[in-house]
Amino acid sequence: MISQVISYTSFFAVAIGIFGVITSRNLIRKIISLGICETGTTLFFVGVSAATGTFAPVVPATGMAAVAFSDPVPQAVIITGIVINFSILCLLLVFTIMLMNRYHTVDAKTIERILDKEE
Amino acid sequence: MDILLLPTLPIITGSIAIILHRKKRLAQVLFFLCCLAVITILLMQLNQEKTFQIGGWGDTGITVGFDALNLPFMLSSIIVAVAVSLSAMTRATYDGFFYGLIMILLGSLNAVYISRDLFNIYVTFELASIVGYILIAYGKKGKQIWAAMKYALLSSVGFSVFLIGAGLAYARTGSFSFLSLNEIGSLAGALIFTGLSVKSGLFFVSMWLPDVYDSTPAEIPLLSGIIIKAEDYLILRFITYDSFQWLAPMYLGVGAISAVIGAVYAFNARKSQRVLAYHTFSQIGFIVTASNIHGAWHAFSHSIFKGLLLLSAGKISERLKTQDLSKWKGKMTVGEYIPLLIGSLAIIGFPLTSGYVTKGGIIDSVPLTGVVMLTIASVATVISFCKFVFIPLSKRKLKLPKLLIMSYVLLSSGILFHGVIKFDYYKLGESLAVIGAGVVLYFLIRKYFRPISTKPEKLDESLVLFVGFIAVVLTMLIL
Amino acid sequence: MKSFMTFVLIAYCFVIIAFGAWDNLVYRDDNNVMEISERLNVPNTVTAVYLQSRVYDTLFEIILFTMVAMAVALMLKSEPVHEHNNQTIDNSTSVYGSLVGVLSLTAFCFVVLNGHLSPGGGFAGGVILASGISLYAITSGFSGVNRQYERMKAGLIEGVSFVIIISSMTFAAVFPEVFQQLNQKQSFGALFSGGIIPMLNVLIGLKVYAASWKMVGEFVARRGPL
Repeated sequence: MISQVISYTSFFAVAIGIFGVITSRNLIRKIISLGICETGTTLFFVGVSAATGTFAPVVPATGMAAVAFSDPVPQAVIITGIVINFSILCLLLVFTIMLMNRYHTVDAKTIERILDKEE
Repeated sequence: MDILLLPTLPIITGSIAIILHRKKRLAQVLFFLCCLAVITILLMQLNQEKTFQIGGWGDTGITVGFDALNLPFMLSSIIVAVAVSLSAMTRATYDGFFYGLIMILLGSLNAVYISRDLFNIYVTFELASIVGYILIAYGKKGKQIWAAMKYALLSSVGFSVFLIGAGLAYARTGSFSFLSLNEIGSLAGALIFTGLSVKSGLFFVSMWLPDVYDSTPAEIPLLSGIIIKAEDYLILRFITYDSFQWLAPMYLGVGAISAVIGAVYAFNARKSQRVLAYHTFSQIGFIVTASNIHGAWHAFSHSIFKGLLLLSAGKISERLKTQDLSKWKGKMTVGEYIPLLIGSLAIIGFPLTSGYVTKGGIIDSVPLTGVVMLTIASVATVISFCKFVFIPLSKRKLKLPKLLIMSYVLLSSGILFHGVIKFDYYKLGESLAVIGAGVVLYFLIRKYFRPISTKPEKLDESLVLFVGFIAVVLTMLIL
Repeated sequence: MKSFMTFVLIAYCFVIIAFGAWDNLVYRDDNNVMEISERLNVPNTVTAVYLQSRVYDTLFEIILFTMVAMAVALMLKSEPVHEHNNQTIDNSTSVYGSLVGVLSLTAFCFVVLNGHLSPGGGFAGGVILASGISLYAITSGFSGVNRQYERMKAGLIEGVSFVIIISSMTFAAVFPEVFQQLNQKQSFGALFSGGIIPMLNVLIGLKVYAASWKMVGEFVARRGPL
């Protein structure tokens, strides 16, 4: 039950993120929307992990009876995903700084118009 | 256990080259030693097929393997990487960081090819993509940075969709490994395919490609090309599982359309690197239409001849300071023309080149509607390469640097070797007929060429096309 | 017009995915937490999964992170630098900033050393330390912290720890039985149990901190502090 709630919230977040990337004009807003989209996929993996239970997968002592632990594999895997998403956001921000220094604007359509005129 | 050395060895030497990035000679020596080691290990695996889990962990671990579909892709990426670095050694502006990045790219692509686990593909492919963005923006000019930014945004959106598909696959079967891909259901299969199709070089979804080929110096598009081939390898591998079989008409349709439209855009374009970029759309359409082992060998020969074309055309356009083909009349020397001629003969499917062998293999294995569209695309390819072949030459002699000649010789010998060894007479008549028809049509319609508008390549429009493609695939799911 | 078309397309895809995903997310009854915990003799199974059974992925991720930090430094090397002259340093804020820095250092040591006993681990600890030290640096002067780093030879420590991480992770991926036998010999739940997992956690924490600090430092140098 809780797994479906989390997963549908995460699909909604991904949809809003992609909508934001397409319809924003400002480059910084596009990058923030991409961050929302990637946080949505992180939340989705947490939802997948909650499908087998909601106790934290830390075993207090050996030889215990099995409790409804949550699945450790998607949680471990999405830690990797968080780091990768963070690195891509940093790289995109570096590109934005370099574009700002050359064209003095962060508006996507203005930059494309300048690049078309240069040809 | 020894196939695990294929990715880790280049990555470790690449990291050493990056940490000591002021010593250029050391980086170059390490690069060639590492390539030699990788080729040796690869040739030792030649006819084997194996799959095993690291550490024997079962579902909580990672599976790796090697089989016959991997071989052409891995060979082509090493050959192209060696050619790129031989040509880059003639430029003094690249310090040790560049060779370290190429080694890390090679290592991560090898890791994609041997991996049999969905999340491992995500991590290693993102490593390869990030190296790609850094290489595209290496020259720090405004146009290159914008091309890299467009590529990065589009690719991140695509990979988020891929992650949702991978999560759904895990939720149903409890494992990320490829062995359980037969039962993940069609929705997860659709999301995985569309998520990975952004970097695949098909027409509607990868509209970042012409800008990247247009604005970067001569060697970088070859490296971007081997990343595209890794994506096509994944598409070719996924079609063999049950959950993706319903996508087979989609592969045929998208591939055929991409082949024809790419060639039509190409013969109308005027700048040399853009023509080659549109031809990449067309040739990847050929590969995806025939999604079997023939497509894999066409990917191998495409990397090599497209690499030769890009390198030679790029060096000519850098020397003449213009990419416009109409301004090249009477200024190309014979030495620069020969690699361009060999590459053009390979791509139009002239006998005795590797393009003839692999194109014949594809046309044999495709159903009838596919054969019609691919023949139209081949004729259009011949028309547009007549633009390169029939340029008048100049009588001067120009001395090319020795390392550049070595890299041209490496790539040309790959093309001719493959073509001569596997030559057969079946398709001789067809290919000569296609070439003849193309040449005649070129002389008839060459006054009507006009460049087609580049509106679909802008950032927002390419994202909208991508979301539209997702909608089309999901509609096919319901029907 | 374009936003309306985008909205329609995205809503259509969302509806199809929402209907299709319902039967994938039902309650599953199996979990292999007890097996992982017994095989590796470690209480926290999440750290055990990403440091022992999927160590091949973590290896690539550490390389990615280090390489992106170096690439950011390389690409911003030719951009103009903001002058630091008019940074206003408020004395009371800088006292509280150093308090937060010390608290985050303590939290880092606890979270990282107990990574195999309770939720935490190298990545969380690295982020805690990076936020704390960045706050300290913003309120007390960036150039002073950079000079401190050069006195402590931080670059050498980073390179050495990078080499140690990569070699031990490759070793753990290629010869996994060595570490599993080492784990079995130690007691369950003690601070020094778990084989190489605590050492890897400490090194990963330091690496994540160093890379985040380099990136934040480059951005602040280009834009200027508060």
